Amino acid sequence: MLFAVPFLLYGIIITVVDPYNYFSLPSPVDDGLKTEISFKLNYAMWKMLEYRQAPSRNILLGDSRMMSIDRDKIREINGDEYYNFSYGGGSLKEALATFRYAEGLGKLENVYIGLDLNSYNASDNKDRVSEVLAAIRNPLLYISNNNTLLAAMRLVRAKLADAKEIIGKPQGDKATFWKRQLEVTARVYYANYRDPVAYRRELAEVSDYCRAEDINLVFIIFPSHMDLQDKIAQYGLEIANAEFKDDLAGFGLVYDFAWDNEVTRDADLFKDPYHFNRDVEDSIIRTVWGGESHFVRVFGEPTVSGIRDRRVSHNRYPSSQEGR
Amino acid sequence: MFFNSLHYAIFLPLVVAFYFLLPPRRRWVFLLAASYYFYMCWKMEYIVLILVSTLVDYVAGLRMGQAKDQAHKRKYLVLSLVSNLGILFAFKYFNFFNESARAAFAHFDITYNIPFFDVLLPVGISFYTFQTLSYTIEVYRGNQEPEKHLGIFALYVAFFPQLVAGPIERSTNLLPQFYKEQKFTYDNTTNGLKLIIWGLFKKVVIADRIGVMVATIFNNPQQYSGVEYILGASLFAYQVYCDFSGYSDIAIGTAQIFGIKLMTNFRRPFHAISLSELWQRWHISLSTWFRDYLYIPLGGSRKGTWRTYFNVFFIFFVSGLWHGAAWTYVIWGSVHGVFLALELATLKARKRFFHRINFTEKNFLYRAIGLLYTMTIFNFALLIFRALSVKDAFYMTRHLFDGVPQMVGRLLTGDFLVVREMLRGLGLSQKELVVVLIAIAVLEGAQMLQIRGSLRAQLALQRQPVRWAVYYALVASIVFFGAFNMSQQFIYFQF
Repeated sequence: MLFAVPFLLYGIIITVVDPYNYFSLPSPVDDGLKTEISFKLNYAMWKMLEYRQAPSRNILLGDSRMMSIDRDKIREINGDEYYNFSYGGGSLKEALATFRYAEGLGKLENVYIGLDLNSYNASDNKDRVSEVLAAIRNPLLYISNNNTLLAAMRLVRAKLADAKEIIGKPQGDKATFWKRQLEVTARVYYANYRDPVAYRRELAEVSDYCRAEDINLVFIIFPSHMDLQDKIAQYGLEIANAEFKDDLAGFGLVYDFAWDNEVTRDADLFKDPYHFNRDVEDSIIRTVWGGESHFVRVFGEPTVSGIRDRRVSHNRYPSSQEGR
Repeated sequence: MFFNSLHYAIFLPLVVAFYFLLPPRRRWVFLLAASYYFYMCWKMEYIVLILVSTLVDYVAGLRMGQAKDQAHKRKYLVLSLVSNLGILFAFKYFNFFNESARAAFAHFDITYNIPFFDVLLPVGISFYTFQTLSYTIEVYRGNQEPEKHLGIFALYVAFFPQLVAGPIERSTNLLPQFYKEQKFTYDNTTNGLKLIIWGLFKKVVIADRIGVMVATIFNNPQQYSGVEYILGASLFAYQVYCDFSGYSDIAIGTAQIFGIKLMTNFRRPFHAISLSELWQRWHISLSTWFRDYLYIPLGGSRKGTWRTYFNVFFIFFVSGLWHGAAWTYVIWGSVHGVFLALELATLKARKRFFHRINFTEKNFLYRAIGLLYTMTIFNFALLIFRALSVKDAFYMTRHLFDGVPQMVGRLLTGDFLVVREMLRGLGLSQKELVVVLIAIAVLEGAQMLQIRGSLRAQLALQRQPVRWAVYYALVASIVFFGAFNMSQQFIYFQF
């Protein structure tokens, strides 16, 4: 029994601190501090637990680029409330698992998924969601989760030392980071590209489900700088890229911002080859939710029969026949 | 009910508590009921199969004890063999042979109408069947007195710690222990718990985590190259070892809490320097079963050189079939059979040659080469074992070295990012991979220490803070790094 004492104490501390508000009990650590620390340590854990308290009819799924889409700006445009359910570095596997989780908590109306060839890639099968789902079903797994432990430690430290916690690695100057994203990150994604047979099948199932349930499923291919887009050709993935967009067109409406235009050529509009700045974000929001047309190609078949977008140029990806 | 489940974590202490609170004469009843409950948690109806095996072998044992001569004894032995193997065949092999026959007939355009049975494989059927057969064979041979107490015999068949995945116990070891009045002792309990913790560490920290990468590769082999196949097979070796030996540790540790001693099932198999040595260290309860009940009755090594080679090959052919109703398992077993026969055939010549050049087991390079040879053959055979089909197995074998020269070339030029590229798509994050590598290092470190003797005994010599630090580290690693969300069924449950 003496042996078990530290583990019991640990369990009590975690329950009291509750880094991710699992137990929704009064905690000596305020939500502001948790948002600063717990949220950044594990987006999936935070968002999935937060979402179950207040499910939404409209969700945004994807990676850090979708995460940068400000839902308040969407609400200003069309009055709709959206929950931003995307995760930094999120994979399509995580997005689809999150979709199923959200759909299980209440009927959805609008689902926007941000993805590109990086994520439509069988090699990108990162999954932080399943451990969160397991923890949601079993409080013991939440308490013993190492993310919970880490978050609790940092919260206690921040509270006691009354000091700001820095989460995440510093990126260095823009030029260095830009180069690293192209030479390392892009290479890791593209050099090991594999045809996403399973993702294709799963997205088809999701699309069929959305059509049957009258859910508006929309894909957004966010803009990336041409330095990054040129890597697709460098790694011989032009056909894969065309097939990717063609596949998406069959699954739902697609807003494609990732093509050669004056925006994607302007490095000043990007923090790094993957991530656009606020000005571009505004344009994307006004285009997708506001009906404007800013450097976008729109194609594909909506999953909801009542939706017609005048900007749709084709039902399939316009350049899908090129390069074949 | 899995050993790594909350259900078991509640079940075990309750059973232990009630067991030792009961008067000794009544304990077997409770333990038997608990064992049946344990088994019925999988599928209630299959308890009937265990009951049938139990009754048939109980009666067969008694009748053999009363038989006047060997001929009469043989009748009951045959009854036991036919009924047990018949049940095993019906549930495990019928559809396999049916499908193979259908394919063969289809090849010659002959109609084949025997239907398939839609049955779920009863968990542990291969294990408890072999266990009961060992009893009747030993009674037949006169090494075991027929068990007169039906309840104790039923407990021997169904004892829950080793019911579904071994160790396959001999009646001469296990039956007498059920008659002893076991006392609840601090040593038995703590030693048992230590073994359970070690088994859980291997299962949930190492095996289940590795299983994700292995599944990624083997589920879609066409998407990967030889580099991933070699990695996958090597990882699968660790997965199956940690999974199965972990299960055995938990089984042995659980039994120890009750004061029951089960046999050792694994003895550092990856330290073997030949395949024959590996099979003396891997799944010992099964390999000794085959040795005693199949190899020796076939003549062993007493009927000439070629018959010996055939016997060795045949044992492993059957062992492959025991592992599963699929041609991949049969081929796996046959590969082992061929290499073991080759080892036997070249043993004298190798010994003479190496002795002449003074290159023996005492030499580090000799052991290193032996280790490399053994693991190469073992892992290659595991590639076939793990493949989802014979087609996949042949595909991976044909492409086993695809991409390897390029990978080696890039590594030699210092391009280590290629490793990150490769590992990225295999289902585990960088953090998970680090956890696996550290855990495997801990495992290997522990196994190196075991060369000197029992790990428990060595730990007992340390001061309390050191001992407790080790225990806390193990428990903490299970709690915080256990891959409970990636949980894989114990591999040997499917056998």
